[in-house]
Amino acid sequence: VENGTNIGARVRTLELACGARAHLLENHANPTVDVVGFLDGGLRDEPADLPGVADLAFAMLDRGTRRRDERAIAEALESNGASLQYGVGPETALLSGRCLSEDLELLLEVLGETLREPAFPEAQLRLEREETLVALRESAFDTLERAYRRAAQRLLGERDPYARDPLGEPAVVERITRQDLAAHHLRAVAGDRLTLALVGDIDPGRARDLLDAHLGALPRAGAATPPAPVADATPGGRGDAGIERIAIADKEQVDVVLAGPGVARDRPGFEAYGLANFLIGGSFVSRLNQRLRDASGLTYGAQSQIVSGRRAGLWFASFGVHPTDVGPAVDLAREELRRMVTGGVGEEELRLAQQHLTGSFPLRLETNRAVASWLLESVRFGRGLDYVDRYRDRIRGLTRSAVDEALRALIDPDGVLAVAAGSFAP
Amino acid sequence: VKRSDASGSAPGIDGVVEERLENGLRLLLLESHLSPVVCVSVWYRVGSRHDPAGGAGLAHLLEHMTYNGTARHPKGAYDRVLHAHGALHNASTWLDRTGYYVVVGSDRYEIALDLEADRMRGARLDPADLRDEITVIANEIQRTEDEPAAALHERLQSLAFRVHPYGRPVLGWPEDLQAVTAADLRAFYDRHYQPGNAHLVVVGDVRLPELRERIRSTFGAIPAGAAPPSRAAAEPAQRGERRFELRKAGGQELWAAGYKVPSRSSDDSYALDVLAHVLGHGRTSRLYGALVETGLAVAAGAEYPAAPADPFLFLIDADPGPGVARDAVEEVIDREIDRLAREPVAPAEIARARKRARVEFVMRRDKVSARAFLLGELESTVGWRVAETYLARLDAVTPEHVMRVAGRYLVRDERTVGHFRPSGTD
Repeated sequence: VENGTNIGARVRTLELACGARAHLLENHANPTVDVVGFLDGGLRDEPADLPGVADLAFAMLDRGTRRRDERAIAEALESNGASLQYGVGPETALLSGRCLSEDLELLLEVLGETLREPAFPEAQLRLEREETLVALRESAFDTLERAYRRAAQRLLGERDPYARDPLGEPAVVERITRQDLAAHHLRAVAGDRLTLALVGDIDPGRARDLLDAHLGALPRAGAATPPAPVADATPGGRGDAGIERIAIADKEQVDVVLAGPGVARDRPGFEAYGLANFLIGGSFVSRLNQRLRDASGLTYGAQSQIVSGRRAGLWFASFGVHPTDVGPAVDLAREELRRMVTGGVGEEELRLAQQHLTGSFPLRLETNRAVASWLLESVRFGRGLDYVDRYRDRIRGLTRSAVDEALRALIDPDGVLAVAAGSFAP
Repeated sequence: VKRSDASGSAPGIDGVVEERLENGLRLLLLESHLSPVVCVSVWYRVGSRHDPAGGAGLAHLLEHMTYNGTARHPKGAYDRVLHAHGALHNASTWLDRTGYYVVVGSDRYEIALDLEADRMRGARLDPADLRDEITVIANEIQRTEDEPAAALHERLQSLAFRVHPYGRPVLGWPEDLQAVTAADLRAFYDRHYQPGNAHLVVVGDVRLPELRERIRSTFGAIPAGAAPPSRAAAEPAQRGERRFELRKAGGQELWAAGYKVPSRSSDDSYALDVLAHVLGHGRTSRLYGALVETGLAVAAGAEYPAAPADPFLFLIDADPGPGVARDAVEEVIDREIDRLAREPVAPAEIARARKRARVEFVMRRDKVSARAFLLGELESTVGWRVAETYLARLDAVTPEHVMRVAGRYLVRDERTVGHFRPSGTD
């Protein structure tokens, strides 16, 4: 983004009549606007007996409102090259839209209308349900997905929002009705749960008028039940030296997931955990890639990430290997993780990671959408709108002992769970 | 030094400067100061089409091997140096070209020039690295094989092109790769990685005089090397539908067809772009209406990949709905094509395709890498100036022209049809 400094001070924050907050940042470099937002709740809003209702409800928002049918909505957006997507995560529902600045009113109008008065038409529900069922059938054959879900479920319990498939369960998806979706909409969509970021070629005054006009009348959650807090599950599953194997017929490659408990993103000093994870599997030169790809050619690549929000979620690493290499690859990975925890981060290794994360920062803020997402994360995790301006100093200030401590907190060398999915040699 | 300033009116592509170094390297340079970021990319006119008989996958293997050190930078240094500078980088090999890119902060882009210049003639290609790299690629091939849609499309291409090398998989065949020797690789490298066979595309926050100076001191020092003589390849007229079935593990039946179509150098290519939009882009498209809304398919789309240098395929995909016979889906697709060949499309449909293409151009300005890729990709085949005239050419497409190309190219005798039927379903 143009003049990528002092972003925090340039953001204007509005509160709409419905309680929604919107953070606006002007960037006139390109005649486009990105609108990104989240609603607190996500999978936590789902009743225990309706897993899948949240995703289905949000996927149905743009398939018809009380004013327009699916085709008219698609026509309005597609004819103008604009886009609008909804999705559901463990703790939030997400929205993301993009348009030429001349079409901002159109985008906000569709956004407001779909959030406020979705019609959940029966015919479209049949289509969406079928899409979901297909995706669920396909994911049953997805080796990475299967290994990841199993690891998360062993760590957090089957019903945890971080462990269960956001698409739900086929038998439940089959029977979800329009009424279920409407009820979920009432539960999940409220102005005072909504936070937006608009970044791009906007005139703040006009943007404010448009936001008021199209989103100001969202209902407030008010006395309605707020999302039930889900306690962090006591990690039920601690790993053992073994590898749990999930057999999926007719696959060339086995995907391996190593996992352990994660860490909440609003925890002070989260940067140390982020950096620790980056060292493990966040780049081409990460420890796992050096060990599994560069030194032994066992995999095309290894990755790791912390999947968390206000809750701790989980940490996991993954890599794909030939079926006969599963054992040796897991041994090498576990050994490397143990080495990291016991030996700590090297001085040079830390310095390089700090250089990378600070040096690549302008690249990661290149697009309006990326800046908008940064702003939202900063707000959501209580870091302040100026976090984007302070981030590099935070990274530079990390010490070896802070990162070592984060490594120890993330990785229990004897407790890293290993799950592998694919076709194993007989 | 040849120089010409482009002054095209297409958004997002104004101001490209084209030059040529004395050693034959072509330069495409574009100043863009939207954010402090630069994309340095080098494109070699060598792709899977240049793989020798019995050596399918050589160009892609070479791409991997060029990361394993040069005379000036030991193995691993490329990753480490760029990592320390916060750069993001990657490479890809495709039908006609191999492209490398680095995105880096504008205060340090010379490091990318230095490393990429070193790659051009300095790769070590150590025989000791060959086996591990082939294992890594074997993993990459297995990943593709485990993706039903990717495996289906690879076979579709193989069957559609029986003579033209586009029929070979870019990643190659494992048996061919096992037979590759270090000498084969070296000869291939010496032949294709020459300044006269490459173009350097730099887009971003640079000043041209300084950029030129830096290019001269890095790439300019490489001795002249000519492009290898280009060898024309042509696929004989198909004259008869080809069909195949693929059985593997999977959760969803897939249907795909590829129709032989001309490349971007043909006037018809712009009408084919519009045709792809009308037929299969988004919820306003004809296939969505005829197949998805009716429940015959869960998803349907059409694509005209215009980047290949030689005539390639217009692709139509459809995922049949549950219990829907593939024949029923095919019938509807044939009917829609037949209608397109008989009746002119509505002006609104053309207008939508135009606006979306225009917006894509504008949106691309958001990322320096997106513009570098567009220029680099086009220059690898039909020439970058296509980007200057693209929108104007699209504006000139008439309903009659769309009708004509539908009738001329989307014909059964020139199509190859693939059907993925999950194993275990009969």
